[in-house]
Amino acid sequence: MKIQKIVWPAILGCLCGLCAIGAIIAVTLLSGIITVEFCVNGGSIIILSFFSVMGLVIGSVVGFVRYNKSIRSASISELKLDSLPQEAYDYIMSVGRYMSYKFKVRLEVMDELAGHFDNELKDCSTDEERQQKAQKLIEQFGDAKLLGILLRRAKKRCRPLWRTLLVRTFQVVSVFLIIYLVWFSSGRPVITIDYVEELNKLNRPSADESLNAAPLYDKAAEKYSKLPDNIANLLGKKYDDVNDTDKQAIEKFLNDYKDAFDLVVAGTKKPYLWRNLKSTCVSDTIEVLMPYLSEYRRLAYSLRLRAQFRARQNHLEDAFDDIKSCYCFGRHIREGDKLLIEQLVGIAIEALSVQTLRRILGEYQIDSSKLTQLQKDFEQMIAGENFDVSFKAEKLFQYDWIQKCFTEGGPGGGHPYPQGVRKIAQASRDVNAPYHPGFQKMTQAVRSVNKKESRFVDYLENSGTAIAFLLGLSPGRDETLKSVNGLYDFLDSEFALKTPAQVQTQKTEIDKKVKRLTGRNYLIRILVPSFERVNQISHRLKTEVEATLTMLALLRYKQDKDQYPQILDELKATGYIKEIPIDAFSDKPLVYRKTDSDFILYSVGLNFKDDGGQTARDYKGRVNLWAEEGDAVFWPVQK
Amino acid sequence: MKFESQLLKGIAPVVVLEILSRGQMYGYELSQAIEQRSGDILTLGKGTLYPLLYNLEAQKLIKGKWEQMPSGRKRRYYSITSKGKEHLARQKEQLQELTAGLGVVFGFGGGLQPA
Repeated sequence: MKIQKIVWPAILGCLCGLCAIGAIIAVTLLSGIITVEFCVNGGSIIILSFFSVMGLVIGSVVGFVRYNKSIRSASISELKLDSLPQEAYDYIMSVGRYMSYKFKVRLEVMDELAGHFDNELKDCSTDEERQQKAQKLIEQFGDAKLLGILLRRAKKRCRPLWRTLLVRTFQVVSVFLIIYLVWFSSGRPVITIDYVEELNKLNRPSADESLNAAPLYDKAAEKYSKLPDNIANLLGKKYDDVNDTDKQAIEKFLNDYKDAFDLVVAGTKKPYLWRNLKSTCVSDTIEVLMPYLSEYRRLAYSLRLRAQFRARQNHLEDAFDDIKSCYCFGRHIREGDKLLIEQLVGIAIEALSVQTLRRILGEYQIDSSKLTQLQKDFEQMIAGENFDVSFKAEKLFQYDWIQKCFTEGGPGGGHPYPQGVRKIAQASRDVNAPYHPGFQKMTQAVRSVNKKESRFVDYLENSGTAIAFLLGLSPGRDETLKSVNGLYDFLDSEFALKTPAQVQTQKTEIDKKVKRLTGRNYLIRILVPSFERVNQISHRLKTEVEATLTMLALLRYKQDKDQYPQILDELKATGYIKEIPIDAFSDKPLVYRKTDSDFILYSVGLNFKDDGGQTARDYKGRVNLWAEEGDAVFWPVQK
Repeated sequence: MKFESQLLKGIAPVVVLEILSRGQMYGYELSQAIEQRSGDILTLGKGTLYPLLYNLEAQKLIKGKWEQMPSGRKRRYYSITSKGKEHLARQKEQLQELTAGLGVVFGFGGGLQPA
């Protein structure tokens, strides 16, 4: 076989495929259907590769078909059928065609028939006689179609047994495959449980509804719905960092929205926050939660801004009130068996509160009595607070997806439903895209952080239907439910109780256990939160809160005794703190050292090693308390 | 005299095997031989001959091999295999018994006369 006869069409096909998709990308890019970001992020590379491979395959097939056709023509011409009368030629060709069998076999049969005609006609002297004799012989042979069928059957019997078995096996498998595909594609999920309602039940308090903070927060959030853009942009900034014009705008905003602030503060005095989630349809589980979180986040940033403003106006007690309100607000959002995203938003707001407090402590001279009161208030606020993350609601969230992504009944309790899986892929990637960019980041932080799984998500999204068959081979509904139950039982009862330091030292065993529980079930793996990161986030808050309380105690100690203690034990011994603060990232006390006229207090941070108090910085060199490298230095407060 | 095709169908394989037992032949030659040796009594339809040959080949009773002719055309010669010979011997015995039986029934060459 002359290989170049196939290679050239293949290369040509590949180039055609590339040109075609290049043109499509250019047009869609120019018309705004896809973005440059999508292309840069590898979307175009996947599509280009796909089309070039498709082009290569199509080109190869075209080349092979053309080459095969030329070979067949040459083989038929070798039979010398041209020497026979036209009727005989047509008859033999028809028989060959009706045989519908392998070309080589047909060629042999046609050769044999041609020989028969040749022998019969060899004694004919004239063309007319040849034609008459050929016609007679054709009549003796009978109908070309019938002969072709009889010859094919006879030749098929000549096949070796292994070949017959192979063909029969292939046929049986094909039939089963078709039946399977029909069964697979005809299945639909059955929605029987409203998991939004289940979430409501999970967190529904037994206390009086009048003690619920939600109506007050919602009313405040409603007032925020018409927040001017310039103010919305200032919310993420620190008061001292903005120019005078913006400071004036902030002052006006704080006055104009006083009612909203009052509502939030009043809400924080209530004992609990419970929202009765109402879904428009059962697929709303997580979507319905997002808008309110976005508004709540803005409320928290506003409180921080007011605290900074009040501190700058030297109204420190008012500033501390706002900080405490902010902390309570975060705790309200987080507490209970809420969804992870709610817990994380709550944690972020609580962390925002203590960070603001540390900054004020670092900038202003505050007398001991105020510090004492502040420490007392904070200790009361965190009394009984459970910093561990709950995975109970998250488990319901997983149940909901299983309900939507699997059919019900049949082998394995149901098989994956392609459209549901596509939805998962979209949801796990940009579930919050229509809402606040902050949530997008947060969701990305807790889901699908693994690059390999991210790529799998892309694949699912781009070719959900194509993957359907593969998913048919993936674990069924029962096994997936079993995996989810096993995984979340482990997360809730064992993992959530571990500190990041413990997780770090037991990482191999934990990874093994999770792998054993989830197996190769990608549906779970793309939905399961990055629990290590979630664990770190919750313990970061605990460490920050304890560090802040210790700072308050140290500042008080200095004012009372005109010097800092040599070691933290002195603080405890003298009653300034109840317990020595423990660093969750080392399982040892926070690192404290007295310096010439000051002190340093830090956690070993995310790299789990003591860098001697070197401030953690991100890859751009900016101070970031919880960057991957360096220590989380709480004091001196980093500017 | 030509036989009914159904009657011939049963004995056609035996006839082909018998002729091939005397030497290898190609398709055309075989069809001629059947007609000549049976005195034109047995005429195997041309459309039946080749499927029959391939069936016998599938049963490994005969085997075919291609030979190049001086004219440039190829010919497929068929010859009987040892399995074919054994099969032929058994079939011949049965045919003899059948002929004897038919002779008795129809009174060919003596024996009982039909009622």
